[in-house]
This record gives sequence, C-alpha cells and structure tokens, in this order.
Amino acid sequence: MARCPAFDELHILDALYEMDEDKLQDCSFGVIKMTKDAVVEAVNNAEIELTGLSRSAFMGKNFFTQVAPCTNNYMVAEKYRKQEELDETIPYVFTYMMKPTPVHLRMLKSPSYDSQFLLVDRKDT
Amino acid sequence: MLDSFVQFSEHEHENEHEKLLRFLYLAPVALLEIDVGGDIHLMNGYASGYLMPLSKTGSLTNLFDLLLETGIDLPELVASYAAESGTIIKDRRLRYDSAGASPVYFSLTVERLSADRYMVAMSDITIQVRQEERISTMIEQEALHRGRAEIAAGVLHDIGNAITGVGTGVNRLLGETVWPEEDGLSRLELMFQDVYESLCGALGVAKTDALLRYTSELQATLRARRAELNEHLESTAKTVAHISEVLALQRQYVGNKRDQTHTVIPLVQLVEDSISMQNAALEKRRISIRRQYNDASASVAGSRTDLIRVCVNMLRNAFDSFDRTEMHAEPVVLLETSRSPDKTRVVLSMSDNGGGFAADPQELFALGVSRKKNSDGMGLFACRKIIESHNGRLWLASDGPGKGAVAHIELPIQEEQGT
Repeated sequence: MARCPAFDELHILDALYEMDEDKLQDCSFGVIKMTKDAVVEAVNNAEIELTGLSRSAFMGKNFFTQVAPCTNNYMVAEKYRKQEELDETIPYVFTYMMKPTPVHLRMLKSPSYDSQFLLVDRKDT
Repeated sequence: MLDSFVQFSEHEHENEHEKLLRFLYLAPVALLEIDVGGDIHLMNGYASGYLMPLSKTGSLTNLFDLLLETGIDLPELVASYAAESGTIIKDRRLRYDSAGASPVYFSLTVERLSADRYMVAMSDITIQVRQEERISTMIEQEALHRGRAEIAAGVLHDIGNAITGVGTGVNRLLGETVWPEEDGLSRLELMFQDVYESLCGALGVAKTDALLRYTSELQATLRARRAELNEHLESTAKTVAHISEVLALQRQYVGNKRDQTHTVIPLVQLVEDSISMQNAALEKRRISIRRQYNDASASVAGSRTDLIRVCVNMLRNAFDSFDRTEMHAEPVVLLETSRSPDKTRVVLSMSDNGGGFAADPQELFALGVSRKKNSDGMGLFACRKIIESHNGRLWLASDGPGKGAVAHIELPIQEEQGT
C-alpha cells in the first residue's frame, strides 16, 4: 500500500502516477491530476476542501480555463503548454472563497507519463 | 420528513452558493475588494491570474504596491476622493513592462463602495491595444505613402512636360524631309549648270568642273548627314515614346485613385513593363535579366497597377539582395513562366543569385518585418494581400544565406475575350 509522499519529495511524480484516486485522498495537500491537454482526471479531497467547490466543478473540465483561470498565465499554464518536462515549485496566490490565499504550487510533467499533476500546499501563515 | 426537507434545502443552498462563487470566480474580468490602504480582501480567479506576474514577492497583499510600476498614483487618487461612494477611476489604461516580455495593458476601474471598501475591476486589453497600434501604424504608413506619391506625381508631371517638349522637337526635326541648305545647294548647282559656258570662260574649264563637283559632293555630304541625324532622331523618338509610356504607367502607379478596374493582361507584358520601370536600377547595378517564358501566352485578370506594383517590389527585393551581398558572380535575375499541370494557373518565378535568407519565409510576410534598411516592412505584406485579392498565391524560397532566393507568383489564367 503506497503512502502519499511528502509535497517536496524528490521523485514524487513516479509515486503519484501509480496512485489511484482513492490513494490520492491520503495526501494532506491538494492534488490535481490532469491529461496533457489539462482536462482534470482526478482531484483529492484536500483540494476540494481548500476551494469549497464540488468534485463536479473539476472533473472533465479544463483546469486552466474552466476551473482555475488564476493559473492561466505564463507562470503556470504556459509552462505546462511549452515544457515537456516540468518539476518546479513556486509561491502563488489562490483565491479560495474569494480570499487571497498564499500557496505553494508544484508543477509536475514528464514525457514518461500521459498525465500531469499540480500540487497545492497552503503556505504556513 | 422535515429532516429530509431541511437537508434538501441546505444542499440546494450549498449548490446556489457554489454557483455564485463559481460565477464570481470565473467572471472574465479581475474583481477585487480593497481598503483605503490598498490591502486586498477579496479577489477572483482572473485577479490572481493578472496580478501574480506583477508580483515581485510571490504574494498578493497590496494592490497599490502591485501597480506601482504602471505609473498610476492610486494611493493619492483613492485618498483624495471625497465623496462617500462613486467612481474614482473609469477605464484608465495601464501599461506594465515585464522583463523580457512584451508590455501588458490593463483597463482599470475603481469604485468607492463605502468608507473603507473599494471595488476594483481590471481587464487585460493587450490584444486591443496591439490592434490599435497596428491600425495606427498602417494609417501612418498610408499617409506617408500618399505624401510620397504626391511628391512623385509632381516630379513625374514635370519630367513628363520636359519629355513632351523633347518629343515635339524631335518630331519637328523628323518632319523636315529636305533641309533648306540642301535646297539652296541644289539650286546653286542648277544655276552653275545653266551658266556653265560663261563660268568656263571666266574661270576656265578645270576650275568650273571642280566647282560643280565640289557643289555636288557638298550636297551628297549634307544628305548623308541628314540621313544619319534622322536615324538618331528616330531612335531618340522611340526612347522618348518609351519614357512617356513608363511615365504614364508610373503616374497611374503613384496616382491617388487606385486602379480598381480589372482587365485581362498578358503576364509577360506585366513583367516586361515592370522591368522597363526598373531599367535605371538594372543598368546601375549591371544586373542581367534572363528570360525563360515557357508560357508566354498566358493572361491574367486584375488590376494592372497593383500587379505591376507586386512585380516591381519583387524585382527590387532581388536588387536589395544584391546590394546586401558581396557578389562574386554577375548579378542575374531569371524570370520564368510555366503553366500548372491542370493548365488553369500560371506561375511566374523570379530567381536571383543574391544573398538569400535563413528566416522562415512566412515571417517575412508579417507586417513590419523587413531585411531592408529604411523599410517599413509593408512590401511583402502588401504584395501577398494584392496577389491573394487576385485569387493567387505568393511565396518565397531560399536554400539559405548566400544561396539566392526565388519568389513565386501563381495566378489564375484568364482567357482573352473573344478567344
């Protein structure tokens, strides 16, 4: 039984890709699994609780344009579009319940996998 | 029963709440609520998406700090607004220059809702501003073109007048079948013959015969001179006529009224007219024109002025290419025509052995792109538009820098009326 790796674990993408949606629920940080076209395939409860949205607001939608337009810029969406391989963590601000909420985003993409991931960890305040 | 109704209502309420949240969050305009100090209290998704690239710290705390580099004095505008509520700024255009990227433009509106609540709306108007800039550039270029055309029209008019004067003089000289001097000599010879005996008595036979011979030779020399001069005059008259044709063509080209009439013109004639207009440039640069008209009969339908404009521009591109390149061989432009396999289209190919290019040919057709000095980059962009408006295609190819280039113009073949 694979446990959820830590947000900053080195080879996290390999572990995440092997985890089904149930296993993603064990993660304390938000996990969004999407296709290379940014269509959401899975989302865990931590992300759902952070956003206050229902699972249906995520599933099957384009994450950058239909779920989180706040990420549809060169800092996030453009990196997924332009880079074949991506493992970068940046400070960012999400708007949970319309309130600016500082987070860390970890962007993960590899040519070895047909899915890409966005991890969201609330910054310690 | 009541419990299930309450649960249903709560569930419905949650759905409505989420819908409203999604509506605000996904509204395609940045919405923020700030206080009098600029601290952000509420914001939607687009606000975060727009403002994060402006943040130097990776946080979105204070709007005044975030917009500092746009040059707007938002703290002062907010602080000095006296009314309890109302519009402080409406659709103010802001420009943000990020390092290494094109400038981004926002439209900013700030409303005061109450004593310490302000609603801010921002929208990204970068595409609109770029379109405005492009239109503005095109208007400027058009004005510049018109100005140049007016000057050129004036110069052409003056040259035309001078050339007409030269032509009139040449034709007048050509109209003189016999010079008065020839006529005078002829009459003198006849008079000498009439008084031959008297002259012999006075001058002696030998001197009289010599005088008659001299008069006759003088006449012959004069006739030869007149024939030689007429030959030169005829040649000059042809040149003057040619210059007049070229001037007429140029006047049409630079004229304010665009030639919108579509006529059927042999493609080769268009090409040859274009070459005529560039004779001076060809001679100056010692450029050879080689022709391989595999299809010399094909005609095209269109605006003669516009099509000549394209051909001239393509020739000038080749000339510029020679100017930019250290030529080790004679500069040559090869003009070829051929018919498409289905016989419905004719292709004109202009090849040169000049500098060539490494760029993506498509990039060269973009507005504002040029490899020429002092060019506005309108040439290829406008040429392609003209050819496309004639249902044709224009494309370029090169094997790389130093390996020459070829411009292809493909147009539908138009049968001459009555054929």
